Amino acid sequence: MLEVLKGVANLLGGPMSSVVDLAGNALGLPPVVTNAVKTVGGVMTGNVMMAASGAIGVAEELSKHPPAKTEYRAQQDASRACDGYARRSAPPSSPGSPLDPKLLDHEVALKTVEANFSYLDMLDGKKDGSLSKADLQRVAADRDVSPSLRDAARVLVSDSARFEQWETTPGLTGNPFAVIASMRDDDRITLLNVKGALAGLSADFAKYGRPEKPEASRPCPPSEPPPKGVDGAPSTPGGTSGTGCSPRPGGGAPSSGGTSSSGGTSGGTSGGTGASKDGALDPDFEGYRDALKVLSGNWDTFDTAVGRKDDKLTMANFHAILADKAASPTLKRCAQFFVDHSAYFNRLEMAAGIGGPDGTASRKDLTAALQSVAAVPEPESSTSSSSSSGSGSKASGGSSSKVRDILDNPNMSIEEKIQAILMVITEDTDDELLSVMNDMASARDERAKLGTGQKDKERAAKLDTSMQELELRLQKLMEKRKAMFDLMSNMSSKFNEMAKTAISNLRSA
Amino acid sequence: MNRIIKHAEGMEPRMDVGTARKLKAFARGESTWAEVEGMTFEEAKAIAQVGCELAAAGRLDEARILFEGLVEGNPRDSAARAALGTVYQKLGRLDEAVAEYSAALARDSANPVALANRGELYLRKGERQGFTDLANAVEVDPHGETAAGRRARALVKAIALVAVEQLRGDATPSSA
Repeated sequence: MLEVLKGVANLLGGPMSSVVDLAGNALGLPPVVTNAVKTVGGVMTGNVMMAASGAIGVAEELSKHPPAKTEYRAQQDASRACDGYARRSAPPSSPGSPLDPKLLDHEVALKTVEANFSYLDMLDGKKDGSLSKADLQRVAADRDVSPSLRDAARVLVSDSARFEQWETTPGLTGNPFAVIASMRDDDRITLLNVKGALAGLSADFAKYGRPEKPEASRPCPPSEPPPKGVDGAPSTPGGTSGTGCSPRPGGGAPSSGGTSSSGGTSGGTSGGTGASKDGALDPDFEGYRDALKVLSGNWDTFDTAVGRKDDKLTMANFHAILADKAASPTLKRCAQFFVDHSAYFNRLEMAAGIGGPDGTASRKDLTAALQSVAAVPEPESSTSSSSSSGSGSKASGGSSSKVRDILDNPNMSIEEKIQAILMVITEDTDDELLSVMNDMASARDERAKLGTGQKDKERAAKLDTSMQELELRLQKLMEKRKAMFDLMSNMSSKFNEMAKTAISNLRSA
Repeated sequence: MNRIIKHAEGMEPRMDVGTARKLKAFARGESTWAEVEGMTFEEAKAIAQVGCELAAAGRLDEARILFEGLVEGNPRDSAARAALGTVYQKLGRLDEAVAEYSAALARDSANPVALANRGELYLRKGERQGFTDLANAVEVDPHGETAAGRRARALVKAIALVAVEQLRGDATPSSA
């Protein structure tokens, strides 16, 4: 190799670039490679010793990287990399936090904007202390701006509902006028808004847990999480014997900065799946699912609870249901859920992505929310015990959390746990019984008010049919309740017998 | 006619609709065996990781079995094909190695492992295509993220030095 280098060094008296170009052309090398060689030549022109070390470096490099090193380098295009492999049908695992994972993008975007606020403010030629939506849209499309700033601007403007939320977020300052000014809904975001939004996000993350970005562990669209480290850890440049799989640049967690959100929430919860890290659903999420179902089936009741029918729900509707003595326990449970979990109500009201976070949920929101939760499969654990009764009905979200609490209770024996779970199921049955009876009473009242017109007759026929269905359901529930009591009684006596046997065995031993 | 394989009473052989559909798709060549088996990309990567480690430890036959299995399961996996090529290359099965690299490049023309190693094999055979492969390997892996990419870069440097020397040798007699 030194011989080669000597010759090269002698040659360097002439125009090195042209020689290398000539060599590149002669070899059919692309310009990028020729340029790399020029760099080598440039080093050599300066110093013969340096040139020698360069040649030795190449030799060392070659010995460091032996030929045919086994590497698994997946394609950069995730969809192509996954081609020919099965897709997981299960939803991506995400943390127990009910918050929307997109909030992570917003947090990054807000931090970027906060750090570069003065610069962004000056981009339109004047410094007015605020950024309009148009400014941000311009930044998002400006190729002269750094990619991170572009991404940040794009994230903020892509979700108009959340932008509205951020722009009205009061900032933390001692000046009350500044706070009031920062809360104006003028499509402009100030530094105070940004700081306030970041503080709000931090508070939400602290309260509900930090959501995990599903894409962060998903190279395979639409839902295939990859094991971290296999494709993400770069093989060592030293090239020791046997690196694992090669890295895929950018294959880890592409920021979904450009994606538009389906709606923001003041609690920042829309779009979250509610699935916990271990794949089990968050008990609150199941409660949310059940509450939505109840809401869907009794929309008019909730809607008119405050005395008027406006096809909108606010917290006042839920409070009215809770205060209504005539409301069924199911309705009350549903109302109580939303009162207790305001984050889920925020999620509901922004489910359709229409309007801002004004504390009002419409029927469209409900439909969108139902579709959203339908995408998450229902857990089976809480239904196993109730299926023993033969009805196949599942325990409600509240009861599922109770069941989990019972199962996780270290102070209870297995017998106590079984009995407690059966009790929970019985309570649910009781609630369901009351709900059915309530529905029957409503149907009977409505039937009584009907006249003799054609429409009334048709309605009466429908009511009769639904009444029969309700009676049948009532009967089944009664049977279920009876079966449950029998089971509890039998189990109790069995446990008693077992205990007696154990004691007598101990005595005789 | 009696069945050759008899099933216990009440245990009729049953295949769910999804499996039947997958098998039909496999028979038609529309899906891979990995899809029929339900093997995900993650699982394949985990297996490939083991294969890489086996190859690095010199247990080439075991690595070959793993990568052959991966390629059999999903012939569309260019990364697995390239990895299998490296194992073949180390085992001295050079023609098979080139075939695997070429198959990998047919699906992913930017696979640096296949490009670098095929380029080197071509160069050993004295084929000019090797330069192009190596240069392409440097282009697709400019930062040397793969060992193959780094080797390709070093090879290109060395080749360029040799070429410069060759040119100098050619230039000296003519000037003299």
